Amino acid sequence: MNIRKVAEMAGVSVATISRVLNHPEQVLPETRDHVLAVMKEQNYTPNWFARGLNLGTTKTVALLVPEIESETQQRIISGIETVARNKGYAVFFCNTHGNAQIEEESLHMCENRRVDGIALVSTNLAKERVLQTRESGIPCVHVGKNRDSGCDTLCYIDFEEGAYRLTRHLLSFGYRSIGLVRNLAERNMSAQMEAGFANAIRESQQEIETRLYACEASVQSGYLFAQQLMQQDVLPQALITAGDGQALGVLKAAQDANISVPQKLALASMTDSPVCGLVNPPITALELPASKLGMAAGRLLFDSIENKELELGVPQEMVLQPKLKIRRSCGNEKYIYELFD
Amino acid sequence: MTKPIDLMGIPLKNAVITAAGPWARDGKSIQRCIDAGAGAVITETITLEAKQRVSPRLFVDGYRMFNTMLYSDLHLEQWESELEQVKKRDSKLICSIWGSSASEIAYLASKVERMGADAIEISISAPIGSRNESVCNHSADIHAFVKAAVEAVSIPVMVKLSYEAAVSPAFLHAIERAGAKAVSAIDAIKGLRGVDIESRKAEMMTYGGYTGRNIRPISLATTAQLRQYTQMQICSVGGIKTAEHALEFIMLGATAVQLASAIQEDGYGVISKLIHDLDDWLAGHGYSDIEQVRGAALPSLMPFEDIKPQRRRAAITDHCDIATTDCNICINGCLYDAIVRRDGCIEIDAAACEGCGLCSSGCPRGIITLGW
Ligand SMILES: Cc1cc2nc3c(=O)[nH]c(=O)nc-3n(C[C@H](O)[C@H](O)[C@H](O)COP(=O)(O)O)c2cc1C
Repeated sequence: MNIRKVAEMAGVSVATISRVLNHPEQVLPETRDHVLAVMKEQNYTPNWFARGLNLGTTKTVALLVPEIESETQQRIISGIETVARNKGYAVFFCNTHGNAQIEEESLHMCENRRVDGIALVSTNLAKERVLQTRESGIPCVHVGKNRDSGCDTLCYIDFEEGAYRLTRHLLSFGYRSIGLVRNLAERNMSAQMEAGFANAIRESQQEIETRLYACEASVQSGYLFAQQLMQQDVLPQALITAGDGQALGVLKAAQDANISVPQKLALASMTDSPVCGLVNPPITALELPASKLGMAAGRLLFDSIENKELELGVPQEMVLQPKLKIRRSCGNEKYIYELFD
Repeated sequence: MTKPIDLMGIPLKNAVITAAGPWARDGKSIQRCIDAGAGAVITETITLEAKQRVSPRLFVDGYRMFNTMLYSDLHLEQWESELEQVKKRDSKLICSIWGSSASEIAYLASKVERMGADAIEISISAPIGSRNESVCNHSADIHAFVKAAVEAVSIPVMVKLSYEAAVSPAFLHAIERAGAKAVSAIDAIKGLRGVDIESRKAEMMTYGGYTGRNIRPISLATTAQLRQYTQMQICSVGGIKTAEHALEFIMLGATAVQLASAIQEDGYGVISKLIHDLDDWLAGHGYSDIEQVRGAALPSLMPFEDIKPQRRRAAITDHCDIATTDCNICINGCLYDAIVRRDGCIEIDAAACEGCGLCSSGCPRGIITLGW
């Protein structure tokens, strides 16, 4: 007897059986009683359920994030929290400041508090360490494209495709030299950005001068970076920055130096934010499905928690596509900022 | 009662399905569709991230309807409990889903399968929102996209198509190879209600989905074309309201029909009325199985190139006294000066007539014929 057969016999969906086992309080009493009766009749009672193990859960999931300053992180957090709330769970929240020591301490705390699952956002924890946590029975999901995180499920935004589309957009205006401003603290994102950028340039079959730069995420860093670049008198025709902070810093530096955007310097960001749409010129950027990413992570995590004992497979990897929000900073002059590929 | 039909291997008690839209936005509204007798109900499109509604989102102008609604505003978890409350009885549940990538759509497909969907409809080409949202603008990916859903579940998968996607043989081929068993066509057409020229503003803030009776001719042609391009079953959508409309589509090869704007216009009663009238028509014509009329009109269609250029001439069959009518359709429309008024009456000059057919098809009294 398995969950699918029981569902069939009870005339309900597999999801309902799972809900009766994991969230009985969320199921209509008559449905619940009916399902429990059929389960009993069919002798289908998962051991953990019979032993009341589901009662031993703490109804808490943990979330480890490297920072909480950026809007993207805030939306990821909000997404996970929304799903947890839908499930009747609380979120144990740890800001690791991207620091390995704090990450380790946080993970330890999660284990001690016996959380039911952990979502790790762009973690730098060693694979072995995460595996250890999972072996102790705590499911983990990783947010960010890192197949070597020790998690068996991960979800991420397709920055490679995003960088590809952004680069193609710039190439359509005829720019011949384009620079990529990465944020090296975001290793996985940087690698994807470089790959997508290179693909678009290769595909264009044009002689394009490419440059790779790096600077920190803040507006201030972007400003200083751009100032240095301008002093060296080697400004490319277009820049793609990893974050919106960097882009805003570059824009300010360009304005202070009387370099007009986009005429002298086209500018695009891999991360959109409300401010990108408010500055002059408004910055073309990728709208990241960050809250959807958080919701996806939350759901993958709950799938692992709830299906652990139910022999229902869990998908390993989920990719989400960003949208290109075309504004004015790259040379677009159309009336509607239509979004396109 | 006519015989059940087979849609993608699923027996449906009748060929009438309610299309994806807000008339099936939660458990209660889905139940109303079921209670009205629909053979199957398609949910409003379910996504990973509930969409927030904009207001206003419906623009009606006579019988022209435009909407700016994009997918369901319920979370997956909410759908889980909503669907739990639905009593399907002898009706079937089809979940409409949308996602931005193959892995996302596969995930949603397996989720809704667990929630009890009998089949899945993938929305790939809503006219609202950015081009980017429609997977059909990335046709290279469509094969992988549909395949991911098909492989993630053991229930059948159908794909909802825009007009543009439906008339592209390469696109259809990719979907079919990916394992889709049926297509639904058409989704709403991208439209704008108009421009207020005094304020110099568009009457809607963004492009909307144009639906309802005006898109029926487009949908009819799409059904006929689909029948030529693909072996997949066809669920026709677009401007369907009555049993006669349903029969038109079925006679062009549709397996089933979907009701959308009609429910919004006339309420859920339109579903039971259509089903009832369809049964009556079939019984009245001595049919017990819809199969007996399916595709019946297709042989009457031929390529334009095969139509023999023969000249016919218009003739008037009754007295048309201008004193009793101010209709000038035939006179105004005749580019060949073949129609004149003499003594208050219409006269047709057969020698000048080119046989274009405008007057004969446009005459409100039907007193002009086209003959040899
Ligand atoms: C208000 C409204 C909302 C709709 N929502 C959806 C949707 O969520 N998913 C979808 O695939 N189609 C949606 N549609 C499209 C319909 O399912 C249908 O394809 C279209 O309206 C054409 O049929 P009709 O002319 O009979 O209305 C919607 C249509 C309307 C009018």
